[in-house]
Amino acid sequence: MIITLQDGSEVPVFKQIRNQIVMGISDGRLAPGEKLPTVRALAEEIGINSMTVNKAYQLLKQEGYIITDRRNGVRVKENFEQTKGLTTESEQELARLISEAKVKGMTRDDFIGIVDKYFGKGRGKV
Amino acid sequence: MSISITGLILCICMYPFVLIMYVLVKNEAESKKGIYYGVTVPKEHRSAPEIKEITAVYQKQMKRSLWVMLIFPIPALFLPWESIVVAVWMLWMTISIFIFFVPFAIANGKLKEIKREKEWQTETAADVEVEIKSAGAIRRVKWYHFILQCVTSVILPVLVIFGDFGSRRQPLFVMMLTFAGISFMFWGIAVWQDRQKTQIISSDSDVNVNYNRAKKNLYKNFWVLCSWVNDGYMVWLLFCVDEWGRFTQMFWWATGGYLLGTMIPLIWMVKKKSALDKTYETKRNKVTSEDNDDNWIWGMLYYNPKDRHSMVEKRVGIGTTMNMATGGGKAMMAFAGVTLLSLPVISIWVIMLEFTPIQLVADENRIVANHLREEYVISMPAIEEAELLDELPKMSRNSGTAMENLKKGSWSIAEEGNCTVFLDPRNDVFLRIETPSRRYYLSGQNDEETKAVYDAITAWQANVDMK
Repeated sequence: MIITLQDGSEVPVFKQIRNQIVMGISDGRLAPGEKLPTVRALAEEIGINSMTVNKAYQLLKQEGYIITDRRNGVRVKENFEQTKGLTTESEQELARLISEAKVKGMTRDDFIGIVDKYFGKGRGKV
Repeated sequence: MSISITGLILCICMYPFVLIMYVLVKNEAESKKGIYYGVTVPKEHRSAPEIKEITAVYQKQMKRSLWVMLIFPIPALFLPWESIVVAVWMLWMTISIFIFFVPFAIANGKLKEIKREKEWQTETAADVEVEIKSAGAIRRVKWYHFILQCVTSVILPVLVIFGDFGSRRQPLFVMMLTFAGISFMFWGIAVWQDRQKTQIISSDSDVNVNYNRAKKNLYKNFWVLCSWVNDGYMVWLLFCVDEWGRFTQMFWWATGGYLLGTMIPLIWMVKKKSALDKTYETKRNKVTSEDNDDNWIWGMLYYNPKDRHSMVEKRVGIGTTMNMATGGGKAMMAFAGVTLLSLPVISIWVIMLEFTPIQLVADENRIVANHLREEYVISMPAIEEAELLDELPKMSRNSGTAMENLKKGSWSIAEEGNCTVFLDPRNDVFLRIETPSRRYYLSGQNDEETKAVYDAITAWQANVDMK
């Protein structure tokens, strides 16, 4: 799976890594149980400090997307907790996106169209 | 007007260099992976007339540079002064390294400007793409690929120290140690190259993994072959020094064989890499993913302070290049700068050697040989025997200077062994001095100077006998 990090983005690099991995899990590019690179290997590959990658992995682990153990390294979780809801932070992010869409003159249908497009990809049901 | 032999030898050895540089840079300029003159051009603009115009100018400039470089050293063939001939060829060599990159840099600048004006920048500009499936997983170099060659290269100098090599020991040991270092250097480069970031050529991760695995395997095999060639050369060197400690003609054959031996893996690697790229050409769909032209100075030198990788895949051509923003890159640049600067410094030194006359003087109780600095001092009481010669024996150089008007340093004479030489071979009279530790062959700037020193020695010895 290829992750794209934007150099001049306001989103911190660790958050960008976290987001890209979550998107990868969501659209099926990262399979359940798939092995992820070690902190050191990924940091070396991106060319950043390993603390940044470590921070991203800690966040992913805390949110329940990945599991880490000494023997098997870092892996995508096999089963995800079906909370049937978003975290408060994600809901706020969604609210921000909807506001942005409204300001730019998008209709509800246009927005739902985009939601459908991404919901249809990979994991989960439409 | 006669042709200088030194000039002719330098011409034969160096002339192909300019042709190689021309072909190499011309090859780099050919559009590859959607990159023209080191500038990423999106697919839809690749047949733009502006690019064709730049190419036409570039080709004209390249041809002009080639002609200038081919004609430039010819008058030097007829110069009578060796040092000036060498200086001209050194200057020519330095210019040859850079001259063909000038049209490339000009074309790069023009294309960058056009790209900015026409807004050809891709949306993903300044993005960093990383293949996480293979991060740290594609490693082809293992310790056992190089250990045998390195151990052999360490054993050989040890063998020279403890073996029965007589006066061959010192020159052989120095050579062996140097080439043992090269063996380890090959291993180091192989490991460094193996740790390169995975090159992304496709949106399909499997394609990226397979391509990079094949590429790294190729690089690894190349360095393994080079280290075996290096070992072969070291073994061959054992038989290239005669009992006087001089390198025999076999040495030149061995060196020629070594150069050829490293050229063959290089050509093999270039061919294989081209074939590999061809195989993956149809699967390549990420050509303009990292549109970071501004990080490529003149399209050739990579400078990106935000990238911690010290070695990156070259934009065009085959192999890797250094990130000048990293410590390793800066060190490499400094080394290259010092090496290039050493060429004119060496030239000036050689000119000074040729045009500064030697001087041999006898003062109170010693003989002093001066040339640019005080070279040798022989104390009168240490002289066991002094003799004036009107002919020099046949001698070959171990180390030092050999010019038409100057021979100095350590030389080897059949049946006499190693001697210290400091003389102008155009003279008619020479001085042979024996001391308990060394044998000297000397002369002054002219015969009068040599005779005056000889007279001073005999007078001093007569004085001692009388006492």
